[in-house]
Amino acid sequence: MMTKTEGNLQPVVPEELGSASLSFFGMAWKKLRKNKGAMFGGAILLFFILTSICAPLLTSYPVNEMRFDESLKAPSAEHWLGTDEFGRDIFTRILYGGRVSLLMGLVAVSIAGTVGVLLGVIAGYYRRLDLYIMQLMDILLAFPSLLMAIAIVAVLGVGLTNAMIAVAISVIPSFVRVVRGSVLAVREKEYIESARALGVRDWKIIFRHILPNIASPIIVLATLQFGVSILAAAALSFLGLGAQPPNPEWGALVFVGKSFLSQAWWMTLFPGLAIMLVVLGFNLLGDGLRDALDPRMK
Amino acid sequence: MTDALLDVKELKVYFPVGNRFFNKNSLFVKAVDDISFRVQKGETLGIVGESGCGKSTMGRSILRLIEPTSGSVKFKGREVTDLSKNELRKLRSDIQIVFQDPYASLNPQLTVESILGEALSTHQIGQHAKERKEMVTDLLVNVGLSPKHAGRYPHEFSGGQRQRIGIARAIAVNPSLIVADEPVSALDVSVQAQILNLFQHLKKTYELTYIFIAHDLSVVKHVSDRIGVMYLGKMVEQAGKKQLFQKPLHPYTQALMSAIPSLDPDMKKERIILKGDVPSPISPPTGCYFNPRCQFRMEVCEKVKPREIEAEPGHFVSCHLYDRDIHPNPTEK
Repeated sequence: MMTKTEGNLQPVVPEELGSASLSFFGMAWKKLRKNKGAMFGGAILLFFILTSICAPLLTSYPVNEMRFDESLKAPSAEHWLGTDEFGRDIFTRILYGGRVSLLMGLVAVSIAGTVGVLLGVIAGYYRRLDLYIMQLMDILLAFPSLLMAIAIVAVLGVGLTNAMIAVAISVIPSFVRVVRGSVLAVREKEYIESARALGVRDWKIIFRHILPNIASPIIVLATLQFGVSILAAAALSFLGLGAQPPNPEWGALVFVGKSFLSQAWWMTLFPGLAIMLVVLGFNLLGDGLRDALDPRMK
Repeated sequence: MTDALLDVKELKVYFPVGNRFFNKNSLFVKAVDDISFRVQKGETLGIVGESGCGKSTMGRSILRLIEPTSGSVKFKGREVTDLSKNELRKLRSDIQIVFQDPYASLNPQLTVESILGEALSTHQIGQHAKERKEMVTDLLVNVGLSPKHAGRYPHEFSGGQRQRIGIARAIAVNPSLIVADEPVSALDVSVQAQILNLFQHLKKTYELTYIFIAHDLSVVKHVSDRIGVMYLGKMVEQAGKKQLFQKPLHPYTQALMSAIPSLDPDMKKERIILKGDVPSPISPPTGCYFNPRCQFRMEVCEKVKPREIEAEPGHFVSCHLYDRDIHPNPTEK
C-alpha cells in the first residue's frame, strides 16, 4: 500500500521553517493585542462582566429593598452614585442590572447567531433554498429593527423573555446575509472542491472546511451585534416593553429615572453611561477584531 | 484494443446562460462538446488547448465534480455517470484530482497532517490515529517533504511545496487515475521541473495513470505518452506524443506547434499566425468550429461538422482534409 520510494528522494526544503507554527487565530490574537482601541474596549467589557458577576461582593446594599428615608439622595461617600425615589442604591442597582443587560445581549446574540448561521449556510451551500430564505430576510430587513422588535413584543406580550426573542429576531437577517455571502465566496474555493473530490460528506465539508473559514466575519459581527442587542433591549425596557420594575435592567433604570430628571440627574445619567460604555466596548473590540481577523490587513 | 481504464464517449457539458426563466434552454455555453477518448492503464494522456477551451471542465466532469450533460464515462468498465451519491463516494478513492492553484486548494485553517489525515479517514484507510500518522509521514517523504512539516499550516509553505501537499493528498487514497488540472502552470519554471519529475516518479511508485491537462506544450511533451488537442470544447486531434510532434495533422495543431520557440537561432521556422479570436462557445461557427481561422478552409468546412478520422494507426483527427469521402487525396493539403 504505502510504498516507500526507492532512490531516496531528497527533502527539497529546509527543515527549519521559523520556530513555532501559529494557527490563523493565533496570529490574529497577536495582532489584536497590539491594537490599543480593541484592548481598551475589551477592558471595559471585562470590567462590566466581572463587576456584574461579583456584584454581591462589591456592595452591601440590597437591590430591591425600599428605604424611604434615603430616597433621592445625591451621590455621596455612602451612596456612590446616589439613590432612587425608593431609597435604593443606584450603584448596587447598576451592578445587578448589568447581569440582566449583558445576559439579554448574550441570549439575543446566541439565538440570532445560531439561527442566522444555520439559515445562512443553508442558503449559501444548498442554493435551491437560497431564494426563499433571502426573500424572507429581505422582508425582515425592510422594517427598522427597533420598530420590528416593538411589533414582535406587541404580538408576544411584554416581558424580559419576549424582549430577548424580539431583539434576536430583528438581528437574525444581518447574520444570514453575512454568513450567506461568506459561504458563497468560500464554497467556490478549490479546497472545497478537493474535499468533494475526496468524497467528504456535506456536513463535514460545512463544519470542517466552510465554517472555520468564515469564522472571522461571524465573530466580528457577533461582537458588534452584542452592543446593538444590548442597546435594543435597553430601548425596549425604556419604552416599558422589556424588563419590568423592580427589575434593575439598565434601560428600565433610565426609564424610571427620566421622571425625576430635574430632581435626581444621577438616576438617569449613570445607568445611561453604563449602557454607553458597554456598547462602546463592544464596538471598539469588534472593530479591532475585524482588523485582526482580516487576512488583507497584515 | 484491450479494455481501457477510462473510456469516455460523447461527453458533453453544457452550461445554460442568460435568463433561464424567460427563454428556456435557448442558450448554452458548450464547454465540452462531444468528446470521446480512452486512457489505457499506466499511460499519461496529455490534454492541451488554449484557455477557455474546456480542458478543466472536461477533467472535472470525469470526476463528476461538474455533472456532465450527456455522454458516458466508463471507469474500469463501470459507468460513472449513473452512480448514486454513495457509490460515487466509494469511487472517489480511485480517481483523484490535483488542482492548478496550490494557494487555493489547501484549507488555510488545517495543518498538513489534518489535510492528509482527512483523505485517509474519509476512505477508512488505516485502523487508528497512530497508523494514519505514520502514513502521513510516509506520504510527506514520498512527495519530497519532511515529516517535520506535518504540523504546519499551508501559509508556511511555498507554492511548489503546497503543490506537493496537494499531490500527497491525491495519492493518499491510492487512486489508479489522477486528473492533473494544470498542476504546474501556477509555479515558477524551476519549480515546475521538480513537480513534473515528482509526477513521473510517483507514477512508477504507485502505478498511476494520468490525465495531464496543461496549456504549455513543452510540459505536455515532457510527461505524456499520448496527447489530445482541444479547441472550443472539441477534441480536434489525438495521437501518440511522437506522432503528434513530428506530424501534426490538424491545422490548429500545426499552428500551435509552429508557435513553440526553437533553440536553434539559424533554424527558420514558418510561423502560422492564426487570424482572429477564438469564437464564443455560446454561438460557435457552423460546420467545423475552427473554419473561420483555418488557412486550409474549404467550402464544406462551413457546412458540415468533421468526423473523427483515424488518419494513421492511433492518430485521430477531426478535419475534412483527411476525410477521403470529401477530400480524395488527403496527402496533399
